[in-house]
Amino acid sequence: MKQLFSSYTKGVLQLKNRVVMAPMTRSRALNNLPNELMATYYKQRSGAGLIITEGTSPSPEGLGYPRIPGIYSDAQVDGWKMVTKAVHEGGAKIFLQLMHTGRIAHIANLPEGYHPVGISDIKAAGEIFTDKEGMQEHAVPKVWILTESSI
Amino acid sequence: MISSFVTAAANAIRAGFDGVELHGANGYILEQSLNPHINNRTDIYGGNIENRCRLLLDIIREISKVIGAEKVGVRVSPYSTLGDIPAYNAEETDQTYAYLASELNHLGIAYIHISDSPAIPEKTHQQIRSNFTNTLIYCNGLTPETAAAKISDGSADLVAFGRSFLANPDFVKRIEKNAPFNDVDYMSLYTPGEQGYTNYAILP
Repeated sequence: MKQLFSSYTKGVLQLKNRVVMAPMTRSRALNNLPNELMATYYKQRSGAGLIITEGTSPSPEGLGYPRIPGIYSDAQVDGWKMVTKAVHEGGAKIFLQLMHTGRIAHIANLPEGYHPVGISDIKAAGEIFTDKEGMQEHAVPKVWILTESSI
Repeated sequence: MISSFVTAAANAIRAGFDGVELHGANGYILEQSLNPHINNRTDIYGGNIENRCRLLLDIIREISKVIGAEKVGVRVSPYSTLGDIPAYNAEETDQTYAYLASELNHLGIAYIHISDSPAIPEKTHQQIRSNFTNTLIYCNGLTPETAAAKISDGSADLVAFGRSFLANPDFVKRIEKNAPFNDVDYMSLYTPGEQGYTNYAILP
């Protein structure tokens, strides 16, 4: 098992060991904001060489699940600063996973005024949990439209 | 869409992250783009393999201009059907990931993170490994023993664990000390608060 404990050095990955904490949705980010509880959770796990965070949305439309964090507002950036500081103090490196859920979403999970967006308008089979309305069918997504501003 | 990813990546670096991983797996929007049964677009982001890979590659190209390709990783899950992703022709699936690996190599990103499954043929693994020279991370269903074997035989550079870390904050220490592992409390995976989140037992 000694292979797991050898350090790893390649580019920005300067790691104390080969063990990575995999990204996992945990739905603790109330109002889509990273918080102190999350900083504690990640710090506890900083024995890993590399931590990859839970899926974090680059935009309000990508917040398909309840209580997942974002990285599009200054308040979210400030929240994440607590997490990265705590993890670095523990000696691990940390990558943020950018997850846009696309059609795996329900409008009740998105902030007011936003609608799920997909690569097409084909709806996913099955249901998704929402805090407001319990289990719901996946949304019929609006098709992502290519515009000058979206590039 | 693309610009929101770029801003998000810049925000991540501002927040102190060492890099970002694009989630190209598990049925979310980037895998929706890769899949020929969900991506029915008729513009440059739909159609052949090159076009279906374009969204992911364009996002990476644009992010790299801002934060550097060396700070970008990608997660993929070939042959996964999670998120109602329909399986498609095996040859086309293999070609998709071989093409992606080769383009990602060209872009010079830090790593490819493979969400492994028994459905992935050996050929696909080999094509990714031979087309991509930087770091490969493997994840899913590994034990410390099987993970160590993957590093030894060169198929993985790094090995990732999900549930083991979820339930064992000191997972690495437990492997080192050959200590028993905590079980996952599945009832509290997604519930708010510290129960089943920050209160798993830690070795003294």
